[in-house]
Amino acid sequence: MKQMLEYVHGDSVIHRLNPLVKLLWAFLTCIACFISSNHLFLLGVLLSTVVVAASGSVLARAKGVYKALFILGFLLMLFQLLFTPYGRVYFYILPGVPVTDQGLSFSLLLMLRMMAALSPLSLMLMLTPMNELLTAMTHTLRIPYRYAFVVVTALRFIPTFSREMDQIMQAQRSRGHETDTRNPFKKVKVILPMCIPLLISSVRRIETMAISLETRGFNTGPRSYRKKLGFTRFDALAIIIVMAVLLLSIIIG
Amino acid sequence: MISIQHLTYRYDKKAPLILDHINLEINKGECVALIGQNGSGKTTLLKQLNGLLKPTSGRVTINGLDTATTKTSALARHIGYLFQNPDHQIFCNTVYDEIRFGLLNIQCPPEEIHDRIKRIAGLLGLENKLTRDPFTLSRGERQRVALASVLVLETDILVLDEPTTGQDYRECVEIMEIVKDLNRMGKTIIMVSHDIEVVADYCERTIILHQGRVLEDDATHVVLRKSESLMLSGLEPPQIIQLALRFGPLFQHVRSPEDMAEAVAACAVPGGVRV
Repeated sequence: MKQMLEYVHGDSVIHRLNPLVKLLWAFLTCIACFISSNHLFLLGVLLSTVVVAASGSVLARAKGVYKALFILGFLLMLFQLLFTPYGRVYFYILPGVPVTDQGLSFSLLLMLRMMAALSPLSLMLMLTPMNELLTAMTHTLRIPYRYAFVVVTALRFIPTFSREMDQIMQAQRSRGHETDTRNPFKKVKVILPMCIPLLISSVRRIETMAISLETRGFNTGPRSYRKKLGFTRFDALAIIIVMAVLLLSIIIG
Repeated sequence: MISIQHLTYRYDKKAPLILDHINLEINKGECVALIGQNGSGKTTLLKQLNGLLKPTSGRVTINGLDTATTKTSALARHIGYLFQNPDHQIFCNTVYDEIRFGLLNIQCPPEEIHDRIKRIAGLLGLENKLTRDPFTLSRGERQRVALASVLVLETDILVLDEPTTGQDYRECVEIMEIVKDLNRMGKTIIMVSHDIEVVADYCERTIILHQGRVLEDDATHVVLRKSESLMLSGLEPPQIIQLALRFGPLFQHVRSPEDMAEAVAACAVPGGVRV
């Protein structure tokens, strides 16, 4: 989890794009995936995200994302497959539970859609430094700083909490608590109580952070920004591509 | 007891070595201090001992059990581990439940449980706090709750990652006296500390870790005289030893204020002291 949302430092074309462009990409790709119900289109979008990951040289990291999305998507697909009784029946997986052509097609679509729609978001976070995102949101999009700050801080803390959860699990394992079980049902039962220390330490941390922000003059007036965000030919090109994809999704349907 | 052979460790394939060919034998009943700069690999080494981290290469065995193939929850019967931050460990509603949690995990017989909790709570001055919610306690008290919940398991080996952080001087001494008592009872203690005075007072053996390697491994009074090695770790010898080092070879054996007084007395000549 922690690796899926954390910024990976780099200097690729993708890294240098205006953060707004990347935000737009993630957002519009997601919309395009929901507009279109074409398997090939979704597969194409998914492959295009792989290209983006590769050109940002975060493919190794992105593998984890694709894997997680695949597992999630596969489960979704399985359920959809079992609960779509109409269409031409291929065979019965259980008595009264048919596997049909429509079921198969629709469940595959769902899986592809989920993978194609969500991976850009994760890639965007991997390829955009948080402070640039913050600057883009407040400066260009005119989102009030305090709200933009909330969003960015929430994202920024996901890896921290995930690391903290690791520590907590390790502490419990050291006391003979069997968290290293492979059985997923057992695991959930074992992990749930461990959320309490995480919750409490996060609340403590957030309280401290709020006070520390106040003492450093948070939200007292206009701010200065370290970096001016430029807009290059590549940004223009990227926007054109993203728009084209969106348009394509509408045309294909 | 604890045997570490050619242990290397890195977090992933491309990451730098955190532990670099470490060889250590720690025998039953030893009290060992592990010191070194932040980032020198102390905590990583400790986590190898109970299998929270597995060796990249080399072997770690605890009472003959290979940590690479034994689950941490199984190793917990042999080795107790106190984390740096007590809040990572505490999650129950009362101090009593918190201490009991580990006992239930290791299937301690029910009739023993209450006595063991009482005993350990008394030892750590928590007997009046057993019904309290641990999260409402002070940082120092939470540290002791965490310590109690580790000690109650009565494992042969205790691994303590900075057991005295957040304690005032008196509490620090109290905790270390308990640790020392456990050591006298035959428990093996391995502790990380940044407090050189605590190390000097309570540990017989000291290991300095520097950039993932063992820089020094000897009796504490020997290691604490190696100013350069200590300096590399951002530490200084305890003041009494600094003083003794300046006085020269006659003061070689000085380890405590008492030794110092004796040594000074031995140098007395009519009309003053000759060093």
